[in-house]
Amino acid sequence: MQAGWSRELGIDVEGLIPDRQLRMVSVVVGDDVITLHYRISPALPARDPDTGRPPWLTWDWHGVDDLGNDYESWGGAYGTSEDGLTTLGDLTLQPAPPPDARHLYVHLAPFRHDEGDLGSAQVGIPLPGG
Amino acid sequence: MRESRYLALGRLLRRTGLIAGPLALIASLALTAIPATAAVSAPAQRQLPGAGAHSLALRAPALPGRTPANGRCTGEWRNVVSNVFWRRGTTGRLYWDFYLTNVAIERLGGVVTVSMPSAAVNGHAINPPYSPHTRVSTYDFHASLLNYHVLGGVNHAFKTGDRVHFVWLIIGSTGTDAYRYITCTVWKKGVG
Repeated sequence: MQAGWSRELGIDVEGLIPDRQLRMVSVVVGDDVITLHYRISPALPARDPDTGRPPWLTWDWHGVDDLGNDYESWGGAYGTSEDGLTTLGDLTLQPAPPPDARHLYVHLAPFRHDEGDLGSAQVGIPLPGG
Repeated sequence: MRESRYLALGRLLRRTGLIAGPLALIASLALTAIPATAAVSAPAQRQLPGAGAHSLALRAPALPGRTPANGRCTGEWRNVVSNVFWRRGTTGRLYWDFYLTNVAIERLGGVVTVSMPSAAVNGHAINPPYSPHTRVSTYDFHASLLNYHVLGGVNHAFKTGDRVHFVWLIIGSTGTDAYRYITCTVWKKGVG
């Protein structure tokens, strides 16, 4: 039974978001979803919901495991931490991995409305079969 | 273009004992769906008997209408519940970022669960492409979509001209529920 499996990651993704550090904090595998938790430091600019400004950052992500199975994005969310110092977020993918999948390779490609594509990175994430 | 929006009345229905749980939410969706063609404004909402005390839409001030009149899944779609930004990537991916408005946050509370109970493309129900997220209500709830899976069918890639219909359900920590749904046309690659 792999549902509820989780692991701390502590993987820094260098240079993907200008002037900020992106760290993949943890991975959680649920019944039908993989959730990646991340942290961006310092925090992205605060945004008033009613200002009409576009999001500071838009995420594009998807994955493939070491067995060749594809994983499609299944939504995410991010916002400022309670202390205001960092941005906390998560990216989810589906489906859940098969038991013998050992690694998930996640393609991350953030986008900024004022600057365009910020490039991309691939991050190796351990899975329960590893 | 057709955009419908409302705040849910699921709590009211559950309180009255008429319907319980998710059925109440679905019922409130059906009851409050309101086609609209222009700016968001409170008077455009249909008032339900006895629903005023629980409906944000009935009491909220009108917001400046910036929902695109062309019905395309581009730019910002505003309403009293949420503002949704759309963009089509150069690879064909369809992106949306969903922000609750200050008015909605005030009613829903500091923590919300945002989910997508139903979605459709070109009139066919698809697997909803958003997993439930319970987060602080000021968060950006977002998705990046390349393919969709028709229920009982196969995967397809989003293409220009597809008519998408997404329903967001927001359950607030105050016990108030809200809905948002948008029907729009997928537009050209690289347009946001």
